[in-house]
Amino acid sequence: MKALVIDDSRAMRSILRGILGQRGFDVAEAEHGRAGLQWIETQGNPELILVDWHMPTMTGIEFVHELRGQPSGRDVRIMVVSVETEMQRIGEALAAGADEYLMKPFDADALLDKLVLLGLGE
Amino acid sequence: MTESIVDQSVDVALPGPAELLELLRVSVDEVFETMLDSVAVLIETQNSAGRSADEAAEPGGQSVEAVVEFRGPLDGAVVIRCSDKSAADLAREMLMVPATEVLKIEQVKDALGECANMVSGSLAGRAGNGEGLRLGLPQTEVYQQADDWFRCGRLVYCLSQGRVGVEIWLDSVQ
Repeated sequence: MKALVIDDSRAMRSILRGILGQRGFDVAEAEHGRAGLQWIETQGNPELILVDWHMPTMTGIEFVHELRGQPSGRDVRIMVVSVETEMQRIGEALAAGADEYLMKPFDADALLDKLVLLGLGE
Repeated sequence: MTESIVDQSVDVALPGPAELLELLRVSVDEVFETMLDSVAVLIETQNSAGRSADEAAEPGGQSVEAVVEFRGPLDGAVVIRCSDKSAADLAREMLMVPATEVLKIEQVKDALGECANMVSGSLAGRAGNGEGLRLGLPQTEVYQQADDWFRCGRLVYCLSQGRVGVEIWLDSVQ
């Protein structure tokens, strides 16, 4: 399965890549929402997208809005991974079209639990 | 029947410097316990306000810092300062790479920035009284606090190969 990790932090991309890689995902990376959309244009939809909220160029929420606005982007599973902890902000991410929300900091188990909720883990 | 309109909003006092420092401690502990492989031990708490010297850096080392500003009911910043050696130690812990692996300074700064980002996010959820603090993007280059900001506290943690200072700064004009 392919996963796309979109985060402006190289460290966070590396952490997510490590956890997903151990679960058998083929992981690609993008450093902001616009780069994520460009990757999808050329490579097609992955099974899973993990996207940060606060990024330069295009935020995670703008990315989710834009992808969900495209017919081809309605079925891909999207998880927002962010430091935002307010319920209102989480609701905003879900209303934009995210399927799940993971708060930073997190450990591997927390991410794997979310994958189960998305039907991508055991 | 006339419907009465009652203002049910409650003015909840924002945390003061001492409470903020305690919230910062809880936030740092959460991030370190979740994201680091080994244990980080809090060895010092400084409540004193004042200008920052780079007290966390070891002699002869280069200082590295990461800053995330927050705005809202409180204006200020979370600053993580340490020596380049300690920063590399922290980055290796976060990235789960062996202690023998040499990281590029860009990788180290990026990891420190993400660490400051997570601490700030955790703090914002605790200190904003539900009003929400808006976070800036992490800055890891030269950062200059505004003249009217004051440091309201500092925590010093001991990692396996050095110390890390985590500070909270507030805008005094608020």
